[in-house]
Amino acid sequence: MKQYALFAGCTIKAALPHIEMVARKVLPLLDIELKELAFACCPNADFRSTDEYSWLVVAARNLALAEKEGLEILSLCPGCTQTLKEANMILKDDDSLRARINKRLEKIGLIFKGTTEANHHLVILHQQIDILLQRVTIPLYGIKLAVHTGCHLLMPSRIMQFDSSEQPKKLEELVKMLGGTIIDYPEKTLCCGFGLFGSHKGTASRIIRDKVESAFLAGAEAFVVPCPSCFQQLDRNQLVAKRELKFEYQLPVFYYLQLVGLAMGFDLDEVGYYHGRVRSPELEEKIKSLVKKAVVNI
Amino acid sequence: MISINTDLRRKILENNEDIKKCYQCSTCSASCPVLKYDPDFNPRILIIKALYGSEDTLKSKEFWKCLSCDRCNERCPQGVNPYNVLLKLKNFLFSQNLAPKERIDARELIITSGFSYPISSAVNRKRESIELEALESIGEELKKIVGTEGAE
Ligand code: SF4
Ligand code: SF4
Repeated sequence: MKQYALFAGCTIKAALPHIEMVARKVLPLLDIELKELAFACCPNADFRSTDEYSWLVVAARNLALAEKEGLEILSLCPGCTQTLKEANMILKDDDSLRARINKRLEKIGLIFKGTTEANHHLVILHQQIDILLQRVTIPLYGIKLAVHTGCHLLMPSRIMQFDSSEQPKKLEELVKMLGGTIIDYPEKTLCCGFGLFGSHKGTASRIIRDKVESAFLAGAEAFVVPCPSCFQQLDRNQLVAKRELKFEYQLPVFYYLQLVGLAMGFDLDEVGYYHGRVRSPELEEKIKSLVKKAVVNI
Repeated sequence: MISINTDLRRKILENNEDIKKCYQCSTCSASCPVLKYDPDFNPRILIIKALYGSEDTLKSKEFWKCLSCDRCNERCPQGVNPYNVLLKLKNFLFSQNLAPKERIDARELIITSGFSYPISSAVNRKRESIELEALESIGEELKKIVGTEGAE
């Protein structure tokens, strides 16, 4: 059992707490112990776009909190992971900047030394794939899934060092470990467009439509994402886009750990599926029948 | 006609030597998910305008459409890091009080509460209903450490 500081991030904490719930349920069963620290917003790219210096200060505070506990960070959000990794690298590489930032942290009794690492849970799970495999009791055979890794887990690749930014494969591998069927689709690497939804709904809606259409026509029954922003964009915002642009099809979305939960024997309710807005009764039946089949096989 | 703001030009080039390496190949634009859907947003053009310190850069609302996806940085053959150039420009606009109100408010929300979402009682009720702890503001602590460079 290795202990990590859990970095759920603002979007999950405030808007999608069922994802935090499923993470807390599932990760300890994969030998990952989670500790809560008083983390602030990572902070996000919008914050960085106005005040890059404070962005670094707040990120340094988050990293310093984990350092103080002697823990590495496990993040549930690619955006937070990217901020924390990039800030960590910037501060480790620049002695004079680190000294100036530490002057700020001194005021609250913290210091950044550069002794921790931040990683998304996909990175950590991919490193202990054997444990994941051992815990799968209800393989998701026949469930057709369109994988959307999103942007921040991949880029900047020199900092993220997780997967190919042009042809990502790791999330697909992790879904296959659960028994799921991967559906390749043309718009797999298209950004979800979440950042535009608030200010330019029309543009964001067209991105969503193309993404959903591409995956649906390829034969997918649901999306799988590792990111709360992508989740919101493809879930709640999909319904808005659908209303606005009047397209017919729709696809529900799973956060990766929800699928892990299902494959470990939790039911749809226990993994928070019903907190999602887009539903598919056919898929729900299919998932319920997996459990029955598994029981018959015993 | 474009009017050149020498202050802006100097400021942009100060921490952005790489921007001079841009040879206007348009790889960034061809890779940009925003431009694919909204031709008014064009990173290549924003870069050349920035390089010249063009005045209308200051007035343009276009910068703020960037999705921060990093694809342009990844593909630019010259190492210009167009995304980071846009970031620096936006920081400059913020320092000149030219950032859109939503961005100023969003920054303020994080500084005063510690979170990028408002922590309402509805949020905490929902958390408690699935046995998660309520969120508490950490704004008091953040207020002591945030502020643009040199603000101490
Ligand atoms: S920023 Fe890079 S990719 Fe964009 S036009 Fe200039 S050289 Fe080409
Ligand atoms: S980071 Fe911004 S400018 Fe660059 S490709 Fe992505 S959306 Fe376009």
